[in-house]
Amino acid sequence: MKTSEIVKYILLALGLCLIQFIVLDKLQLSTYLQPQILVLIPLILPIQTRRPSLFLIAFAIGMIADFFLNTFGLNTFCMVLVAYLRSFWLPKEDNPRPEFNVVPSLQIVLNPKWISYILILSAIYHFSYFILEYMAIKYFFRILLTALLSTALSIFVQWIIYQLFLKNRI
Amino acid sequence: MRRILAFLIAKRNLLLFIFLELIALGSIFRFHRYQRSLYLNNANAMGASLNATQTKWTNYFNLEELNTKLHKQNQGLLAGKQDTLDEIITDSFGWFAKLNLHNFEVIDAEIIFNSTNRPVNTFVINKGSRDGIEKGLGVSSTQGIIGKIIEVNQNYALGLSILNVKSPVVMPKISELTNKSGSIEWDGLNPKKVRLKGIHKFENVEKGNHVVSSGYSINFPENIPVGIISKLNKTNESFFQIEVDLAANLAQDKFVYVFKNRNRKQIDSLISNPQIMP
Repeated sequence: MKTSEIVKYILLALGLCLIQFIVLDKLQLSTYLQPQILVLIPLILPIQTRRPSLFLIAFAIGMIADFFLNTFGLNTFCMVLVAYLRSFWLPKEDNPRPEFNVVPSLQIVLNPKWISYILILSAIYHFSYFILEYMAIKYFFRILLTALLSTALSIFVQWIIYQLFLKNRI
Repeated sequence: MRRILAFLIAKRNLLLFIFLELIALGSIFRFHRYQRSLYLNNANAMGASLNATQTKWTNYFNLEELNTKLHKQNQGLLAGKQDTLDEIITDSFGWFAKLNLHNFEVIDAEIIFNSTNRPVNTFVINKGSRDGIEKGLGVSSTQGIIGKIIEVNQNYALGLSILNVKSPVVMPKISELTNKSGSIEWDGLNPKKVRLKGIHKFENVEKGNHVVSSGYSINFPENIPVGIISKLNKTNESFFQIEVDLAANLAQDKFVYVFKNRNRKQIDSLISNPQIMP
């Protein structure tokens, strides 16, 4: 990855952290609606990013987010989990096929393959986040509902952010 | 040995993944035990500082409301109207004046971050160890109890809100019934209501009774409001199902008081001394 690209992703991560911290966490819409937009970061890192680098980037960004949001490792855990799982949707970095040689950004979200990529990984992020936050099986259905509703809202917010700030940049 | 090395090299990505996840889980479990947290150190002071700046700006927009309230209080004081004064006292400090604070030091602070929609809600206040704040101290707003301090750094302190599904922050009692304490439980849904548990069905509890701190804990003086009983159900079990409207408005209260028991260290040393336990 070029230096300019690294800077671009760091700025994006900081921007998303600020939006999460200043806007989404302060809105406090409902117990069932807690969108986590930081999931976008491991999802849109370039396909060529090597897995150890990907994990470490996800870990570092998760730690920064946890510092700001008082979430005590929740974002770090989910970020690394999604960074690990995304490889099951994407080809191996050392054997990139030309048709996949793109950043999996929201630009191509209309492609059914990418819809499932964004949806399922966002849902996994939210589900694991709330399981760890509640840490009690008696709240399972509430966790499930919160994860589903928050995933839907999170994708909507990600789409707005993409349209407003990222469309011509990533 | 070579095989082990070859295995480790082959699985290095998986091992790195597991290693990083274990670090993250370690942080989460530390928080859930409420013993200590990694995060309210100097690095997190950045987050608290950002919160403080934001609060400064949002407070600016609330000035009109505050001014109106102060104006009303001033009017009452200047006119010497007993009704208005009574209203002011009942509205805010009625309970405070009646507290027995002989063993307590009261530190005022301002909330700079607060959440109410999470299963485990927290808040950050703008006072820290430099101002005498310590872990475990009880926190109330001018309306009622809001939580207790769980982590402190030099300038800020992190509090565990009464709105959490994990750990009760106060041992309450019903003020109309002497010495009947129970426990508070939040269902994780409505930030204005909690449940009072452990009150036996033969007790003479009524709707409208006041739930206050019992004084059995060293974190809070006795009689700080928790809320008012709004619903009372008898079930097949031995205990009432009691719903309590919280006195404090967790989403809006900004100014808080931290209660520091002057004998806390002595009491703690007695409780935590394993040699005197049977």
